[in-house]
Amino acid sequence: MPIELKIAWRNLFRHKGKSLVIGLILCLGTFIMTIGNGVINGLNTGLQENIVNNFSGDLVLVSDKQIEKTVLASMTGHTLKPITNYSELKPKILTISSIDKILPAGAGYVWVLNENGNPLDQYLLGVDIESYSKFFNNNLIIEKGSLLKKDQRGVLVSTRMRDWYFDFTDSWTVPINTPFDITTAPEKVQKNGTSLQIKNSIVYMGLSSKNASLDILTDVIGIVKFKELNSILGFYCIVDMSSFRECMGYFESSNNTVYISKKNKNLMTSDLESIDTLFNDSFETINESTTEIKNDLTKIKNIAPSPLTEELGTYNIIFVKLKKDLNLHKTITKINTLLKEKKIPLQAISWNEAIGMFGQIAMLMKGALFLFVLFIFIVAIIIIMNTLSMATMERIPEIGMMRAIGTKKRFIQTMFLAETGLLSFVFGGLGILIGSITIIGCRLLNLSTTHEMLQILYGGDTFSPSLDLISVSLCVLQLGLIVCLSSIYPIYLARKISPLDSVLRS
Amino acid sequence: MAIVELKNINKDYYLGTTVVHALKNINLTIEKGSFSAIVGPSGSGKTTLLNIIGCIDKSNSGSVQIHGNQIDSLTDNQLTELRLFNIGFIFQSFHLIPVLNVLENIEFPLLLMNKYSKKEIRMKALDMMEAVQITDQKNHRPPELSGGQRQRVAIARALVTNPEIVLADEPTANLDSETGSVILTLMKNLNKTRKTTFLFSTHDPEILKYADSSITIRDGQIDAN
Repeated sequence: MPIELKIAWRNLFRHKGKSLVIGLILCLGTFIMTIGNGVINGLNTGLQENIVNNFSGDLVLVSDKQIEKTVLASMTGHTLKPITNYSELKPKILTISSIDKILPAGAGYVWVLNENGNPLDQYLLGVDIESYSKFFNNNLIIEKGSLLKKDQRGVLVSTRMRDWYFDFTDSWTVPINTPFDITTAPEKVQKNGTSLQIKNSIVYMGLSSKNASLDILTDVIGIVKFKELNSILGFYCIVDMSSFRECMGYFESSNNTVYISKKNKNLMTSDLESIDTLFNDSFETINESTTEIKNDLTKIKNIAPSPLTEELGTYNIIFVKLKKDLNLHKTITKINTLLKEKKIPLQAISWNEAIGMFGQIAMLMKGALFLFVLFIFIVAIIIIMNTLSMATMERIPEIGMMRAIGTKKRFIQTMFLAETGLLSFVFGGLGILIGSITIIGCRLLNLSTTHEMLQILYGGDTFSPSLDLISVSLCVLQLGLIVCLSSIYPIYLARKISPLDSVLRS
Repeated sequence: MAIVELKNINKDYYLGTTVVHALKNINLTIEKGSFSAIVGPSGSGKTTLLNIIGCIDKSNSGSVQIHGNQIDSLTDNQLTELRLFNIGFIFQSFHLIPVLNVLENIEFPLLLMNKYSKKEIRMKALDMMEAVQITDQKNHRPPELSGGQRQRVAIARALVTNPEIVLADEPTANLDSETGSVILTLMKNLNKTRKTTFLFSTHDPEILKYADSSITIRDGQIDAN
């Protein structure tokens, strides 16, 4: 063993009290840092797994005219730019080798209209439910009613939104054709007693880019919850694609151009609800016997109900799942380049950018956790530095004597670093070990929550802090930094000790 | 042949606004192989003079030459090497490394020299232990030794590198008179057998009988040589 290490090692036992104090601080500091790193890592991997698998895919494709990137949870309520030619784009998109599968959909911000006049706002996702369930591995759990059937129109209300509707409108949402048993309802619903309204349908009003809006009355087909992160993802209710398009003012596959006469056009666009209009001079009377109108109505009737293939209609977002083990950010850059090369008018946005505010809240939480870890880190440095500095001052005669008999400053520096390094190795290692065991214990406890902030912190419904090789390396790196930073000043003091100091102290 | 040569050495200490003239115009030559004593009352400047000769302290003016090296222009590292290779120190309060045992304390300066193999270092240390008669305590740590034994270890440590000169600042001050005289006899014997130059300070006139020559210092000035 080199003599520096031998002296350092024995010095630790000689000053047992101080070594123990510094050691315990190091142990506690690294324990807290390990837990912090584990929570941050769990949050990262949990959010990624749960959101990617349940909600967004690895990335989304939106129109290249889309400016705002937080396409799945924008607080501003801006509508997404429509993708009008999905059926043409689909084969081109699928030629990109890194893409595994895609799902076209519509995502938008809507108002829920109700009798009390104060609309509630929420997100609406328009999908073909069969493809959606397949794409996201049956991510929905049916609580009441059923999922939408093929070509069925209606909405799947999330438990999160059902509770919200109740909180604001005192009405309890129940799927159509499903009996309501108040005894099985939550306590808050039962308390409402006779004043409770049961609703089987909801009126959604889409917010379009021009703020002109259409409203649709949709039957509630099922009450569902997302398998994970329901408190967060439950801000979305799911409707069939046709209802979504109607609500957002998009063209349906069945919307075809029908040429009708100017007179009939004026008639159809007249505001018939206004009684005055009927007595207006300019109003053209309806004469159903005229052949012209009959022909026009026949044309409309023939076209309106004909459901062409679903993919011919308008979408505004395409969920994408990538082939496994690809670097997300590199792949997005690559896909964006390919989209431009292939002249596909779309852009790729990563899942974490797309989820917007959820990602930002997660970032804030990560930031807060990081600051907490940093605070512990700084406190540990200050305490250890102070204790080591005091120990250095007490050892002036010993260090001065060593300098007198020919020890160079470098030797003193190495000896001090070795002392702190050995302490860190033993106690810091112990802290990391206890922290890791605690993390495993937390996972085994299976602590779950329905609180939305805690769900973000947990990265899912259950508290699953985790440590991978990178997190452990980060703990070791932080420990190394503590050792180096807390040793700088004591080493500076020790290097300044001259042989004369030793003689004068004697 | 002179091993130490001091010319016009002055050393002042500043205590607030007061200037203490510790050494005034000192001129001194120490011959190789001598066994010399610096004598003087407390505060006369003995330790300051030894510190300057031992390259532990620097003079305000004058020149110091140790083994032909002008030390005024040397860097801190060069001074450290000079102390390691050419000078041995024996302190009044022994100053052994408390966490190392007797053998390791004696081996310590040899390890710093980075010149000998482990085997050579062990051989030299064991030889030196035998010379100072401390072999039985080789595995003991300093706190387990008596004052006399500690000073023997300090002498062995100072001599193990085979230095040109050994400086001892009141080596018997912390010892009883009997042990003190044993230590001085030992130093004297080593001076004779190994031809090592010894320069020690003392304020005890009894010890002077061991010295070949003495330098009396009073109020920072040399009285007689």
